[in-house]
Amino acid sequence: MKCEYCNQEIPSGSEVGSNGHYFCNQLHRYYWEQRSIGNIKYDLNSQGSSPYNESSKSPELNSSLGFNPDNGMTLGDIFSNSINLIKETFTRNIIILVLFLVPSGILLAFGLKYFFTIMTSSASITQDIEGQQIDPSQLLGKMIGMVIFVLIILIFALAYLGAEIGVLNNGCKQIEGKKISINDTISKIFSITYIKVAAELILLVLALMGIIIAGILSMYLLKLFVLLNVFNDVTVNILGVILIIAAFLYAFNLLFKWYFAEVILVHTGCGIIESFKRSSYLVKNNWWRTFGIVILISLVVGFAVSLILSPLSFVFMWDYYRHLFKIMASGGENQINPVESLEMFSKLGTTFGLIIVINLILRSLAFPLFQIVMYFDLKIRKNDFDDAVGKLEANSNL
Amino acid sequence: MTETDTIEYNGTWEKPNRSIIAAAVTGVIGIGAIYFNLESILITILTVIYKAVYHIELSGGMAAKIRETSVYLKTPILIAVSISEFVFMLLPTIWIIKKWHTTEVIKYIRIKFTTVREIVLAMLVTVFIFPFSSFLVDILVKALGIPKVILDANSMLFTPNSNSEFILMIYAIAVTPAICEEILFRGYFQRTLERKTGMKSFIITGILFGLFHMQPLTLISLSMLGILLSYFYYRSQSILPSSAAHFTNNFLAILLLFLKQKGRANNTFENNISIGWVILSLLISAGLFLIYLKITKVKPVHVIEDGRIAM
Repeated sequence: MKCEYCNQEIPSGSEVGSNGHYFCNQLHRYYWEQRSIGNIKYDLNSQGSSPYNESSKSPELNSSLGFNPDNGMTLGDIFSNSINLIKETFTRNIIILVLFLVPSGILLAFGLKYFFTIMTSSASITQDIEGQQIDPSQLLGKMIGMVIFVLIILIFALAYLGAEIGVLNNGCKQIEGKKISINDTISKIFSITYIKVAAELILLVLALMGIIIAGILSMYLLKLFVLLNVFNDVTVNILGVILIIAAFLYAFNLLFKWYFAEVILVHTGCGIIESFKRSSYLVKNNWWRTFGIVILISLVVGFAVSLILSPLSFVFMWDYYRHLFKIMASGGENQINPVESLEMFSKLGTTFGLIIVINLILRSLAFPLFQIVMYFDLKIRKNDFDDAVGKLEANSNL
Repeated sequence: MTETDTIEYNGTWEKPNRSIIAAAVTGVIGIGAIYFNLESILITILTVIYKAVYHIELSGGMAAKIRETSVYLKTPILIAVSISEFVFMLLPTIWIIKKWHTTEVIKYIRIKFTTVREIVLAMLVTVFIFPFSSFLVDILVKALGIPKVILDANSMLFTPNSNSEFILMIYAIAVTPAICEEILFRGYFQRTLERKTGMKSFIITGILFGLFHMQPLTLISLSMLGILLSYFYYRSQSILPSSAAHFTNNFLAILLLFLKQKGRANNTFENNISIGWVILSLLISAGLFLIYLKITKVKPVHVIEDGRIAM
């Protein structure tokens, strides 16, 4: 029996498929199905090779993906494919990131400036009128200011989420050989996916915080045993510390187990709970691998961003450094007045905003795409290219 | 026969589907991330041990503390830096070349002899570029108005107070980077990039060399030095001229601080460098560079691996 996709002989008993179409594995079936519905644009027959065949010259990313279809990607494959993906999606991603993050970033910059100004004037008031009654209208003004600042942060966070969904969508489509337009990406961002991803993130944070809070609360519950003379103080303290550590470890474990839920939501459009289940299914037996690679990628991306950001921050903060050195040089080198330093900070609000935006744009150009490649690697490893199989396995493995 | 033909690329990255540029970028950024993180940890550990063993207590105001830190913690910092360069920079670089590209590491890095006059000229060009680099830093220092306390502390950290400290500093600041940084930047990054981008590789490597030092004040001068070193490597097809030039640059910096300490020189950041001397040295450097180009007239042919030929 030969594979419909690669035309190779299938070892007996390992075939996948039915109705006269048989494949070596789920990935080949997936590719064959994608090709037959026109998602993968190159003609395999004319090239006589599969998408991961080394001689393939197809411009589509699918054909340039390097990995072993049976064992998934090596660490080198992950880096090589991610850098290819960054290159392929660069223009569209930068447009999306600039569209979403620059306007909200400018708002954030002014928000931060406003925030620092409020903080500076609060510090001055505390110093100047110690013991005197503070004007309630002034206090109310500051409270309204803080509320506006919180709203600005919220707007920025929502814009960032939209930009991230756009980048994830571009990356997922690209890896499947589909080049989508900016308009399509924007439509995807302003779809139900946005609500789902936002809800998924809120649920994730609540779940992780809930576990940690449960750990802390159980320590207080243990104190009851002291009152009931069941345990002594030392035992309860030791047990309490163990419980808190266990809670943190469990939350950490879940964080990586559900690491791909966001990508799954954007890629498949499935339900929120299902995205958690599918992520757990993918990470199962690959937890340490996922953990190690995520840490390594975080270090590498973080370092690459800091290489660019370090001189940029220096240029942006030029005035701040000049001011600081001026204070130090004018005899104040042994101590800096807190109000004076707050005044300096108040000038940094806009700068911080700009640095945050550039930092996020640079990170978002790389990190989500590494995440997508890792997600596809796990799919290859788990042969998770059939929704029905995936759902079945996910349900039995959560 | 070109060099590309003579090396057997038998590493795991050497597959048609893998991007060679991705290998260079991943390798250099990965090593950088490991190096900087582990170096910081090592510096922290060694300074804590050093402080405990020698019972160092920092006292006085901020300025005094900065000065004391520079003086007392100089040795552990230098030891940590030289260990880190060999263990967290050189070893991973060699491992990556061997694992990803080829087992012929020496050939890949281009550790091979070249003419003595080429090496000497590379060193001389660097010597005469030095005043211009210092001048550029000096302009930024003055524009920022960096106070004397910080400049002093910076100088103290790199000023040898005795002959033995001078030797330790030469080893840690001149010899070690001339070996480890050259093998990472020129021997690995530029060499790998060159396979795809040809001549552009030395400019990219030079700028990355400047960025890697994470010192915004010296970014322009270090990038210029980086481009020069990368050009020596590209032109000579050997790592020796760039290593010798790198050693010269760092050695000169320590020597000037050492001589200043002994009262025989005053050429440091906080002192004025005469514009006349800067122009003169720049002209001499340009002249020496032209001689360098003349004596290395036979240009190497680099085969870019998609079949194009670049100079």
